[in-house]
Amino acid sequence: MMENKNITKNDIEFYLLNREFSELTNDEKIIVKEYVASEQEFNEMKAMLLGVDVFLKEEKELEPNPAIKAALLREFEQQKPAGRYWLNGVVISLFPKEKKLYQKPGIQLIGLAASVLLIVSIFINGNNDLNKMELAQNEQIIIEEKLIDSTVQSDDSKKEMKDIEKERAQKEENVIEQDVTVETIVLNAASGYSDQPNDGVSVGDLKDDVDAETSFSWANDGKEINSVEKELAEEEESVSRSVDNLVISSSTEPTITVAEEISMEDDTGGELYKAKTSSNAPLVAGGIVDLPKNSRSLAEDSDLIGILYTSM
Amino acid sequence: MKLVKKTYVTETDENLMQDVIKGDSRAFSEIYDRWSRPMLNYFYKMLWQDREKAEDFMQEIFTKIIHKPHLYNPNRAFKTWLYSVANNMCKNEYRRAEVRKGTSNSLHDNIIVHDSSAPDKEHDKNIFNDRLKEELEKLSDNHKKTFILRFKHDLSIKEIADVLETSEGTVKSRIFYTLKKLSENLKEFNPVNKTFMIVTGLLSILEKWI
Repeated sequence: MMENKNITKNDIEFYLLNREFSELTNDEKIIVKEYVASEQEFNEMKAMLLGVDVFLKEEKELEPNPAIKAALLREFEQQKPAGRYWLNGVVISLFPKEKKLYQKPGIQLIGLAASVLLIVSIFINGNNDLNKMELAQNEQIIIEEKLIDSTVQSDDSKKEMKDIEKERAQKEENVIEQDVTVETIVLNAASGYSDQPNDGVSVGDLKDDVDAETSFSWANDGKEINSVEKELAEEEESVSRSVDNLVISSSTEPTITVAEEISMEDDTGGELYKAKTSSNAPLVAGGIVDLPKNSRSLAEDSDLIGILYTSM
Repeated sequence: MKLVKKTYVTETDENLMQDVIKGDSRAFSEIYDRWSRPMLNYFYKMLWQDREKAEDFMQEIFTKIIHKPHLYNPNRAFKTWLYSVANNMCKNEYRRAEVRKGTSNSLHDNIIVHDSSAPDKEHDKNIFNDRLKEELEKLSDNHKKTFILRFKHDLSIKEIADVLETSEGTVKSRIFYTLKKLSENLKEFNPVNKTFMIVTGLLSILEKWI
């Protein structure tokens, strides 16, 4: 009897090899009748199958030449398939086809790596955002403060500088105007003397006096200019100091606020000459001049007034 | 370092092939020991019982395993994969033979190449065996393959269907057709018919005596 594990009860060979036709059940006969028409045919095929089986099993098998194995093993060693095809093995082991998609180690590893990356990226981004927000707030405040300071400082310094320059220009103009005023007063006084001779003083004497006065006043004016220049230098120094402290300059009082009046009384007619020094205001007819607040003080010009007074 | 030596003998063919892919020469040696003889005899049967050709083909199939192990599909049984590769090699050889001989028959028409040292010399004495061989050679390529794989190499119907890339029903019908054809062509050697002939002969002698 043939011993073939691959022959099942569904195969015709099973009944041909293991059963006589008379031994077949009705169900088995139904299966057999699909192939065999009669009992004789069944027996003929049975005999042939047994003969073939005996022939094939008894047939001596060829033995492979040992030299072939040696040659193949040499070839295998030379080929080193491990180095060449290791990736294939990795791919096969990571993505086995027989497993479901979610069961494949490669897919699982990819998923794990993706989730780790996601978590790390979220963590890093979260930290960055928080830090950025905090930093941004702090920086904003600092920048705003700096901007305010710088604008205040720059505005103050600009204002201060402008004021100082204005005042300086005014001072210089005042000095010039004072000189002009004094000269005009002197000239007017001189013309008054010529128009109205008085006290027996001759015109020649007066002219000499005036000449002496003018020469004297010019000398005094030189002194005054020097003193003004000194003052200006001091003011510049104070301005430079104040520029150094510009932050507080916006709240400080103006450094130069001088408003003085120059009043002169005529010794003859008691006529009052009120002269006010002003940088912009022209001399008003009648001898009254509007003096600005920044004009020189009376105390400062007392020497000059005294000289003028005596000369007249 | 492995503490236990790997036992290649107990490993399945599929596992051994995984090791072969990784470059394990001992796994390859085990595969060779298991399948070199079946392959040699398969080629011997299928390629006109030419031993030299069979050995060449057997060496070629193992060379393919060495150079292209990635061609092996691990989802498929190694046995059926190996026989299907051998089957394709035989098909190619049949085509080459057709070109060489200028014939349309893939089989060498009744040409049986006998090896000088062929082990079937003893069987040549048996007339039945000779005739059976002849009849097997007469079979068509597909019927012969099916028959050899079924009764020589003990493959199941399913495995044969897998190797030959056909349905199980086709395999069954091919087997039945081959058996029927052989029984018809070798009717004189059929023991049933012999008995019948003996019985009828004895009966006729008895009739004469009576």
